[in-house]
Amino acid sequence: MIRKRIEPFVPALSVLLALAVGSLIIAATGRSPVEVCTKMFRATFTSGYGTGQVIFRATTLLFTGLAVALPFRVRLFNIGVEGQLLMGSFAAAICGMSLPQSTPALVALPAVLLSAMAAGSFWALVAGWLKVRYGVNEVISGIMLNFIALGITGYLLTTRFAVPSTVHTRAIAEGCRIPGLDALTGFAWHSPANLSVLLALGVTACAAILLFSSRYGFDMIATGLSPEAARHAGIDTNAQTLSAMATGGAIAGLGAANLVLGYKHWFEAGLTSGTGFMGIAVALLAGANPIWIVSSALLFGWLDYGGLAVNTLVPKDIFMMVQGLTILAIISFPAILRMRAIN
Amino acid sequence: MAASIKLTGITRHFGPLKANDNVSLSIRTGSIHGLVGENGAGKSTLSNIVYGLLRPDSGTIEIDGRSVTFSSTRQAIEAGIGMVHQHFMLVPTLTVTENIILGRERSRFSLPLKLLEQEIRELGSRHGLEIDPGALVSSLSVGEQQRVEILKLLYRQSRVLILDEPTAVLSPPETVRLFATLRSLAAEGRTILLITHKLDEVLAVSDTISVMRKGALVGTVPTASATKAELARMMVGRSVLLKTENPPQIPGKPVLRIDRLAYVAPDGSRKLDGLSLSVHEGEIYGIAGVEGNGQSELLSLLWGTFDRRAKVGGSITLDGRPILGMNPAEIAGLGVSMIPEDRLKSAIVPQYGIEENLIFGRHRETEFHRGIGFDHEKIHRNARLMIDRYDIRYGSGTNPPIASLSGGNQQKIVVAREMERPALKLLVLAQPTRGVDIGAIELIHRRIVDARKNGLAILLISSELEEIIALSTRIGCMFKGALRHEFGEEAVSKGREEGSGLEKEIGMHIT
Repeated sequence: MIRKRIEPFVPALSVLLALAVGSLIIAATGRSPVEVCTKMFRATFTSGYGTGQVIFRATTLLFTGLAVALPFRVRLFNIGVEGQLLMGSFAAAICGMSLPQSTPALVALPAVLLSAMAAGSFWALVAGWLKVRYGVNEVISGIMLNFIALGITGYLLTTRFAVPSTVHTRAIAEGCRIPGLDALTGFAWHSPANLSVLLALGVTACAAILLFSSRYGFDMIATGLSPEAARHAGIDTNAQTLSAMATGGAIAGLGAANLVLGYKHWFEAGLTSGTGFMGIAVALLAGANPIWIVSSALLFGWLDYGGLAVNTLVPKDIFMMVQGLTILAIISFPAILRMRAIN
Repeated sequence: MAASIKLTGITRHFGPLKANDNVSLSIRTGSIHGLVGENGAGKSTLSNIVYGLLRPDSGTIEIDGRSVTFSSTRQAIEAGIGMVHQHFMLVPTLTVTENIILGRERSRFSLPLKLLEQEIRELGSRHGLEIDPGALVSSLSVGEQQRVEILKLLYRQSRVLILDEPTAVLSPPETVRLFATLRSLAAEGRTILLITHKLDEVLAVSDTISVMRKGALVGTVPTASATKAELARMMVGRSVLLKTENPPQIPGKPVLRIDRLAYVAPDGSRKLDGLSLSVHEGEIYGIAGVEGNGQSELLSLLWGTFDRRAKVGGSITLDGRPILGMNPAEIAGLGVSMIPEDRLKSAIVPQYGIEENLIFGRHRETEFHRGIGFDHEKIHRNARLMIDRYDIRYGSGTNPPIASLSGGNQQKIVVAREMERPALKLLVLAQPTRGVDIGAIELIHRRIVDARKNGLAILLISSELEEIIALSTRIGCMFKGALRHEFGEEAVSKGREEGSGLEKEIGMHIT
């Protein structure tokens, strides 16, 4: 009974618990948690640049969070999202730099976005296909595919595509760049935040509609809740696995819109820097619900940049611990409550 | 005589639900005590409390006059209580002897297997539990595995044996044999608590019968003075018809033809071996048989859910059209409905509401569609209609999750959905009343016979012989993947009138 009442608040409680433990750790390092917190708030909410940074980080996390959440609904743990984002970004950069400078945006933008989606989707489908055809666990194959993606992009970058004596490719054509928020609104001055945040919100809305209001989503959720019943009801569960992975991979690839098209305008080593993995945390905190992913992505984006902003006071590692603790709490809370309910 | 177990005022809650409500029960030493009741009446909760798996909220337990509180099954076992669960707790890769002594090894270092095997053999032969102590458990039949479970308790010197639905997996001769074992154990002074929902069986073997309903003990009667109708009334709380009207009818043209069907599982075991039968319009073809004789494989071939790595031979045709190898959506599209064996796992999505479950599997019918989603108004209206027509009962709310309903009402939902499929030609029913209360069985049986009267072809697979005989037009006896004998219309309708003779005859053909 108690469990039923607490359940909706588990994510919030977990975050609070993690922040409390984080504060204790900060206090243990000899700093005042209040001081650190104030500084974090000032660096993010009261400065246009800081807000822009949070939005920028949250945008990538929206993509990678959704890329984990959709397959999660069919009981697939898309841990390969980092590799999919990497492949998508690399494909977008190569496609973008290969286009003639004069290509109009109406052609260039879709071409680059499609190549990013195709690359991410393909990479996810490798894991999906191995799962459906041979029963290979997607977590293991996903981890390995992450390494392989890192290897492929790293190798191609250094041996073929890098501008000499740098670690990045040539810049992409003008037509496929996504303008920054500051250029348009004067808001978030000089921050990397760009209009791809609108694309991310659009994709989130589509994912929510797909999942909760379409027949496809009905099949998908049924497959996740009860695979055996879904098979009996005539749902092709293998097709569900493949399509969920393909969709997830495509959305992960779209993360390139934010990183490559909106910010760097090229591919460089270390571009994704673990945002794929953080997407897993975002999806878990949101309970794989696209609508909650927006707030979850903002929270993690805030922790990510906020941690950087107070780097002089507290090492960034503390914030990594807080993120880890949050997820740990979310996973353990329901299990602990269930144990309590039994006896 | 002295009471072996005495329960006083046992109450146990699960949330707002009272699973056991002030249950007081006294079980005589050396007696076989039957505990009957419908699904969810609280039988399992009560036995789990006696076995130390659950703790009561209030009430006391006395064993041989001493008051006890168990905080684990270990303590219950030490107090001489043993339980045979519905699902056996055996390690398939170990031998019979190893399984029996598991956790009860007398020495940490040596294992005198020869001696132990001899001991187990003697223990077995005393009570009709003959078994090869050196055999691997994985090589045993279900009936033999049950013997191992009972031997395990005897080896531990349990004085009280709790058996939870022990006959569910047994053939009729095996059941007879089990009952003989139970009587011999009771004669030795052991106490047996037999939990079941089969009234005939509890009447045949027990000394005393207790009936539970909705968590409370309704009454305890000596078996000698109990009748089936009276027990049924106590269980349900009202009079029930134990017999379904089943008037004869002339069947029409054949709808389903199965010809020399063979199935070899990927592990090489032959599950179906030349099975042939046909089902006609307006007839119910019953397949009787002990579970594990190929019924599951037959169902998976009929519905297209079989393991594609298996080797399959023979043919299945529906109105002359081959359907073997099609997927479930295609087969359903031809006008076939299936009620699978395992309702919770295969027929419903427990978290979905009543309304969603009432269209689940039929949700591709365009009638329920609107745009890219569903027409919720139509789905709602469909649900109202079905709830009415099939007497589906649920607690509160407009569309509660189906998991909150009783087994019987869940099954009514499945039956409603499958029987109302448009342009239905063939209905395949597997264990349609398993885990279903008597009231719901009545309704489901009536609906099945009605469907037959309307000209539907029905294939019924059930391990309950009573059900097979009550409903079927013809009966095939399934054994080791083929039909060993078929009873024609006349034999079946004659057998139905005459009582238990047919049941015995079928029993001979399925073992």
